[in-house]
Amino acid sequence: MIRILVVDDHPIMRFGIASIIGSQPDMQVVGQAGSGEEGVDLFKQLHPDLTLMDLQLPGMSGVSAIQNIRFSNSEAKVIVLTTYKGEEDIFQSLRSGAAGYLIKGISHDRLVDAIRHVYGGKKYLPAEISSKLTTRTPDAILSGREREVLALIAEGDGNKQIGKKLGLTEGTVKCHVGSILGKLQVEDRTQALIVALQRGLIHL
Amino acid sequence: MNIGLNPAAVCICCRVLALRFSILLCLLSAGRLDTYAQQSADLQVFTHRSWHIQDGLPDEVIQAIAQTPDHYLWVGTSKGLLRFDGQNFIQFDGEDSYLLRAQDILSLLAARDGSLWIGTDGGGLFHYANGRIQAYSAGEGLTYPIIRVIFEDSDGTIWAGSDFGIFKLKANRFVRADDPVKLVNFGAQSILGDRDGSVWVGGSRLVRYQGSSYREYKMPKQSGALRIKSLCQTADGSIWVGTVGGLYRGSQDGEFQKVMSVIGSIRILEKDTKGRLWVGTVGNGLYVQNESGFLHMSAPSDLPSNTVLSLLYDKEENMWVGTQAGLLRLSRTGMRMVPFPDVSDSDFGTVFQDTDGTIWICSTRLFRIVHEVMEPYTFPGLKNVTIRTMLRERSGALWVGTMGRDAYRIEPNGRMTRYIIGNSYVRGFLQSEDGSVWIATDGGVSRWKNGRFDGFHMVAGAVRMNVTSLASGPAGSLWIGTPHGLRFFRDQRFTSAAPMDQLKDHSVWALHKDSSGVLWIGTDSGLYRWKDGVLRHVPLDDLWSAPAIYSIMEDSSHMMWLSGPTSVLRIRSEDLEGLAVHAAEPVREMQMFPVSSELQGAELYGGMQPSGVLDHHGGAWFPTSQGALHIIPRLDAPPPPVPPLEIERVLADGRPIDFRHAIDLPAGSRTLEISYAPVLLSSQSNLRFRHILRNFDSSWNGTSAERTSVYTNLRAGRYTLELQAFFPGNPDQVSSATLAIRKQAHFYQTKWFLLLCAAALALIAWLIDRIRSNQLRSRFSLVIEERSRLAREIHDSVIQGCTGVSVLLEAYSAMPPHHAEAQAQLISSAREEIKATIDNARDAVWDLRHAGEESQGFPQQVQADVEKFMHDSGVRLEFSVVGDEAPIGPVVAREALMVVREAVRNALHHGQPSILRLILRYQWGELSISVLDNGRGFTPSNGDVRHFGLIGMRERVERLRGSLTVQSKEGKGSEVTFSFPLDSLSLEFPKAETVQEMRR
Repeated sequence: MIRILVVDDHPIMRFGIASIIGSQPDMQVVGQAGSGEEGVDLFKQLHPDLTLMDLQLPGMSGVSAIQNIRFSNSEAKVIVLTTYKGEEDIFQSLRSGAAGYLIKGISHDRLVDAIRHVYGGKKYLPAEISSKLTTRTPDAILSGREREVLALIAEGDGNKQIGKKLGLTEGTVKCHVGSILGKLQVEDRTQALIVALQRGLIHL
Repeated sequence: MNIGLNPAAVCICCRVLALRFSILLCLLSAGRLDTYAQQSADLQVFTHRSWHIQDGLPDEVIQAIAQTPDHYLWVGTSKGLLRFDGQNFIQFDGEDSYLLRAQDILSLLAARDGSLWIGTDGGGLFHYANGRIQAYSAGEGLTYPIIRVIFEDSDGTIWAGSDFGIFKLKANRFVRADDPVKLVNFGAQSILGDRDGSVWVGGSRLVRYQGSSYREYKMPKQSGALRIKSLCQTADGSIWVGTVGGLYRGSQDGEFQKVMSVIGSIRILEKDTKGRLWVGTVGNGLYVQNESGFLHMSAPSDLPSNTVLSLLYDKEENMWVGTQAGLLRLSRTGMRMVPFPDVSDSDFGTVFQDTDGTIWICSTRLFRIVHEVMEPYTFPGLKNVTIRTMLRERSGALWVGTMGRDAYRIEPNGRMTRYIIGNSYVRGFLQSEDGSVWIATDGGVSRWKNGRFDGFHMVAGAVRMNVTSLASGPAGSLWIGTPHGLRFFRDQRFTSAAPMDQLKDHSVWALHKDSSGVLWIGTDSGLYRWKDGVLRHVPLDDLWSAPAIYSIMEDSSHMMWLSGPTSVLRIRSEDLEGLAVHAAEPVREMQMFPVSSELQGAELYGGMQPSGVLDHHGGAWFPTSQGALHIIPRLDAPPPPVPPLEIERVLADGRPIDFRHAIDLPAGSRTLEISYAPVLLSSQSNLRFRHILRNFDSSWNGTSAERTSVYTNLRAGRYTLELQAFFPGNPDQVSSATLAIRKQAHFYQTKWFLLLCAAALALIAWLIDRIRSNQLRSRFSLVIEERSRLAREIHDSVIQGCTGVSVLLEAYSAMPPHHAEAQAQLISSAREEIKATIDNARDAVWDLRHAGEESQGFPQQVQADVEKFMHDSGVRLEFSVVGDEAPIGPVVAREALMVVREAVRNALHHGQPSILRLILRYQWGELSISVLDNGRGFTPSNGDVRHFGLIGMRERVERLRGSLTVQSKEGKGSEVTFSFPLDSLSLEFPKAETVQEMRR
């Protein structure tokens, strides 16, 4: 019996996933969590064989939750089940230790297949996901600061506001923005945002 | 066609006495007359010019005159002190001028240091130096306030003489200089320093001081007490004593003898540079010493008044005569008027000099001048005939041209012939080289030749108008000047040379053909030169103010004489040639004689010939309205020194401003007017001025007699005005004055202002740029925000809903067929979810359309949202707000709204109520929201599809750090209440998990 923890902030989603898993004789949902923190807590309590993790969660993000879970048990098997399919999300998730990456809306067969694969110690990355990863160039890796800046750009902040929020001078922010534009190979901030959203560098 | 109008020459032969005028003169002139003539001549060398109240003299009683080294003339009157620069009298207006106001000035002394001492009648003594006046009275040792005389001795010590005592200034204090014990009641009226350095004091006594000793001189007995008024020492060393009882002359041994030829009470003595003594008397005019004695001048012809109070011989060799009734200047101008014996002015005039030197003046009647005396003359047989002009033929015959009575020829033997000419009004004669005599009339020209008379009035192109001037042309031809230009007569024909056409609108008053054949043409618009077929205007404007030229003559020393209506110009013919070639050619030798301004408005005459005649001594005669003008240039005299030039007044926009130092013009001033004046006590009409404003003018301007420079709209900056005065003909000698001028800049013209403007512009540009970029940025932000909102909405509603439905359907598919109940629940949940998703998607679109309504308060947002949500449900909404509304952040508001929406949806979909009540309570720092319905109610259970909605609501409320309670009973409706703290700023959820992640 594969014991599974479902972490998703959407109750319907959890209900649906639980129903799918429940329909499999060799699988069982042992816990459901609506947030990252709750998910980590339940993992520590329940020691599930596998965790299905959404990335967009209120509070602690899915990636953080994965890192936390993997920190408490480096053998923990986590499958990301999310609506995101940007290469950065995929990359970050995999780097955090997720063994599978699924996009919501997949058929129950593939979900169950993925659970079995990962439970069997394998990775499960659909072709479209693995192909995304290869487009990720090391040059385009944004520094932490640059990500912060990018996130604030996405909120519609100007350089000044960004500087205030991050405790930087406006000049430094400009510098970061220039660097971001260069790394993303775009001309302006709007393009930068579009590319960043596509690639999963930021989420709205 | 030549019609020789054969002279119906009526010869009126009459015998006259041989007209040897000089002999006649000798016969007529008695010795007395001769003396008189000599005397008149001597006096008439001086030109008289007087000033009265109407000439700007504030008071006519001139009691003292002095000239300071700066050339100013100081005039002491009974009503104050005046300064005169030759043009204007200025009431003394220096600092402290109130001290001198209305003082009765008795005596003046121009000290050698340039200062002025002023003695008054009752006000004491004043010293004017360096712009300040110092008063001396009893406090300074001057115990008597009536100062009759002031004197500076050879040591520079100032003496002051009063009716009671003589004072000397020592260490700025006056001390008694006389001996009041021995010389009782010694009143001083005059003090004289003689050539030996001793000081003579005259008054009630005559005392000579030599060092510390003195000697009193006895004067011859007079009828009354001795009252010496004036002392003078002439070049021969004689001491002259002017007393109330007459004039006395002292000999070397101290004997004084009365001068009997001077009659009257003597008031003032003065000497001129020729060593002559001038004697001013009270009531008896002025006497001038000459070789043989004294000439007498008296009112009204020579003086304004017979009481002469003061005399001064100035540095320019003018004698100033202060009288009881005005100030008189006697100056040597080289001009001398021999007046008509009858006072009335004439209407016209010509002047003619006979071979014997007699000057004939043809005016209203005929005069001749013999030995400087003008007398009327009548030719026998020409009684009641007005004679206009005369000519002495080389043969000795005399031509007399009359007004309306034709021309007469009087042969040396006295035979007189009358020639009837076409027009009986004769204007002039000309004898040409072949001996023929041309006669100009009011209607053309005629010619007399060897007894034959031809009138050229009917030939082709005949001149039938006034012939105003004539000149011989080559080979018997004739130049004819008319009021309409210049004509040429040759070979019995009148022609007009083409280049002469430009003169056709001008009157040709004078013609002169010089020795080289050049024709000089005097017109009403100036001088022209006709040379080698070229006519050229000769510019004289800078030299001479007269546009019209009445006569042109050239004397033996190659000086050209030009006369105009008001003045006479004497100029070297080379200079005139130079001017004809090049207007800017400097003139080396010239003299201008301002006839009208110096000779009481006399005007010269022209239009008939001769309008001027040269005498045999380098001078010339001219006919004027007042008599015959004789000009005797002082050939040996050096050119007059150029007088100092003083700035008189500076006006900025009509307001006088201080110009003692550099002047500082305010930025707004527009017109700058600088008036200046020479200090020239002689006639000023010769003097020319020019000015240049350095940094503005590129060259000198205004070489006219203007005394004002006007500049308008100077730009801000520094300038220097240079003024120069000079005599034309002596351009190298100038006197000048300068004035530094600074025109301030408007604040908007200054550098700092421009800099400021540039800075402001830059700032504005920068601001505009910033505003634009801010606008762009905020527009950009809006776009981003909107995109973000939309993306969030789509994610939260559509994607989440769809993925939810998707997973439910997947779960349904995954269910084995026997789990019908579970399948039914999944399908039901999917239906529920898809309905909610549609609602949310619709809301998202609705929000898009109504963006901006977020600005309204949270309760209104909630109300609007719920009303919209239930608009077609038929359920009544009761909405109420309790407590004071407090602001909540947009994320919190959104979360709360989602909870409300879920609660409302649950109530509507499952309870089927008729009334829905929504209550917002703001209290205790919390917002509590209750959703109540009167529907069927329910018992919350795990299996209920509402379960998921409740889970979602609870999770959202937990995120708001709040709590949620659900109460419901079957048939009793339901109540969902949740509350959360209002200060939940920390609930500004990060929208990007990545950020959260990276902050770790």
